Amino acid sequence: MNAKQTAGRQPMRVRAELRVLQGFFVREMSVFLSNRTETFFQLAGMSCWAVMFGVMGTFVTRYSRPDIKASLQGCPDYTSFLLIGFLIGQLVATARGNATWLVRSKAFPNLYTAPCSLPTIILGANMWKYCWIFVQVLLFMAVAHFLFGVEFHLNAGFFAVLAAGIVLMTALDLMGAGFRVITKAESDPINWTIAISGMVLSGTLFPIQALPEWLQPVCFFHPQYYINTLARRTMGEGVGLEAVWRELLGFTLTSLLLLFVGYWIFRIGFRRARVEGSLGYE
Amino acid sequence: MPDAPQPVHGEPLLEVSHVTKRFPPIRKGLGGIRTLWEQMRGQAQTVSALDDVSFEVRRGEIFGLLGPNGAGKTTLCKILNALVIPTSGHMTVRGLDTIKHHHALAPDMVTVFGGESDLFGFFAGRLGTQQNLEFIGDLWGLPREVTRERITEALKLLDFEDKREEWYQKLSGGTKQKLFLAVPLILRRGFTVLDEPTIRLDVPTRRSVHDLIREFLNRQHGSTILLTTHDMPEAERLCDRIAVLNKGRLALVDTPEGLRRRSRRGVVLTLRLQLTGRPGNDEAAARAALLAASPGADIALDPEADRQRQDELTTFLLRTQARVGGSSDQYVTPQVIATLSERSLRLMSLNVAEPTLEDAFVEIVGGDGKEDRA
Repeated sequence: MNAKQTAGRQPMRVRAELRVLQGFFVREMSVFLSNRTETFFQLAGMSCWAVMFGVMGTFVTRYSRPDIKASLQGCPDYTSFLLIGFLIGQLVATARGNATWLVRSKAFPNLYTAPCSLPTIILGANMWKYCWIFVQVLLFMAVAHFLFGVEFHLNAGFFAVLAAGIVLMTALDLMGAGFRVITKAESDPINWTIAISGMVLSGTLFPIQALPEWLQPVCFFHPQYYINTLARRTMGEGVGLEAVWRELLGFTLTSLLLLFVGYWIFRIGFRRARVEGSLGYE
Repeated sequence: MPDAPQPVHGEPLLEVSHVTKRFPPIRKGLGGIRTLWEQMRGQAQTVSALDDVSFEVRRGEIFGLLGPNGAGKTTLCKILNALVIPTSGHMTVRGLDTIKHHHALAPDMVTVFGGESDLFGFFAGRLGTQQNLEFIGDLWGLPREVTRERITEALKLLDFEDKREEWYQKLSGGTKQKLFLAVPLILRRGFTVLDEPTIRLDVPTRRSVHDLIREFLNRQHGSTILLTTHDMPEAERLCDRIAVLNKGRLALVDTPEGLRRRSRRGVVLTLRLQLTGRPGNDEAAARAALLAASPGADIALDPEADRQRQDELTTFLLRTQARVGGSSDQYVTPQVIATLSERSLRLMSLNVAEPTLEDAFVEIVGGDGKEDRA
């Protein structure tokens, strides 16, 4: 095949991949919505989380020390701090386990026989999940706004932070997937450490200044700490891209580099599983 | 390469060249440390799934891969779909390596892993037949309208139109199998791989599926078919050529007729003779006549002979050394009849049993298959 033919096939291939993504989306949505009880409980659950965190945030704000504001990463009060932390945590956590779940699923070997690329399969199988989490998050925001008066600034800066956060979590997930597709383990060291330490070290539920001084530097190694910090500044404080672009650029470049490394590790694991003939096995 | 049968179709589509697959040993110990230690000491046992397998499938033919459980049939199909990487050797489709060029080959290929449909679950349990099949059309880039038309046709052909809206998880095992078989009928690709496609189907459905594979996929739509099975009638009915795999090794490649011809069982003639004199004399005369008609034949008296003698009848089993393909019917049988007649032995009935594909298969896989490698 010459270069001209390859170039001619490119748009066709892109169209075909988009068609596959659409097919995945419709399928996953239909499967999810077929269980109406589950749909209801997920929406109700998200509303309850918003109410519970809102009540908790209100109490803590009322009885907290006046100097707490300095450690709230630009948020006007602790309620906003807590609710935005939880919200961004939910959004980026959606990227966790996506590749792993897919390559270890029984559907994967047959999907791989189809004429579409591996990234399309991974993205397609998880696209509905992202859309659904956005629906849930919108509900969460509505509850938080109307019941607790929390202001959410949905500006370009926030979406850029969100995108970089998802890229970072996807990168870590791909690294984990590379490990788990070989070992068939339910967990991997990277994502396990991040998940376990996240409650305390990521600054999601409380400012890291509340931790002992010797523990605070450890937080700087937790990826979610950076996502939380930037998300609170943009969404909570309302600053735009111009105010955070330096930090965001560094964060985005790191995320992209890790995505590249993650995909490379995943390919190694995937290849290893094909050598062992264990694709689709639990 | 085993001795090649007569060419039946066009140029090679799939070429399997010295493919060997040894699966690494199961990891033992923390992080596989024990296995690593065993490997260093040369004690780790690899599992040999395929051993230097070479054959080719020609465009337009239905090629069967026949073998007992664990022969390596599914492993071969997985290598064809880049799901397993071979230890050595390679497979090419239209000259392209199946591992390196998987994405270039995938648009014109479809594989049904019928034998492992639980392992390779294409379909969503909570979706109906129509929706599940529409998704398959999306994966292969079929226009929606074409997919819908073909789904209707496939459901009609496979006789489960009434299950169009039924969730996959509520379908019976046989209907699930039909759903898998609907995939190649809808996609109609140039190369179809069917891994034990009728394993859960009842006999009438299996027969109609055979017709669909032969008439609809192969003849009407020109799809080259690689069929793995251990069902002999299926292989005999469908395949133009058959490769027999045994313990990962290719025993031989031949036409179904050629395979039967290879059987050492030969033809068994069951003869009922009317006794005219003393039993001992008659039997000796009959044996002599049969030996004269078919020198070297294995002649046995039917175990029921004593009881039959009361009715003045006796039955001989004559196992000829001649192989099928004309020789037995054309030469041995008329000669037996003529010799018995010459010696005034009255033949009451004669039954000719030729060796079946199953006989040949059991003989091939019964040993280690080496002696049959040409």
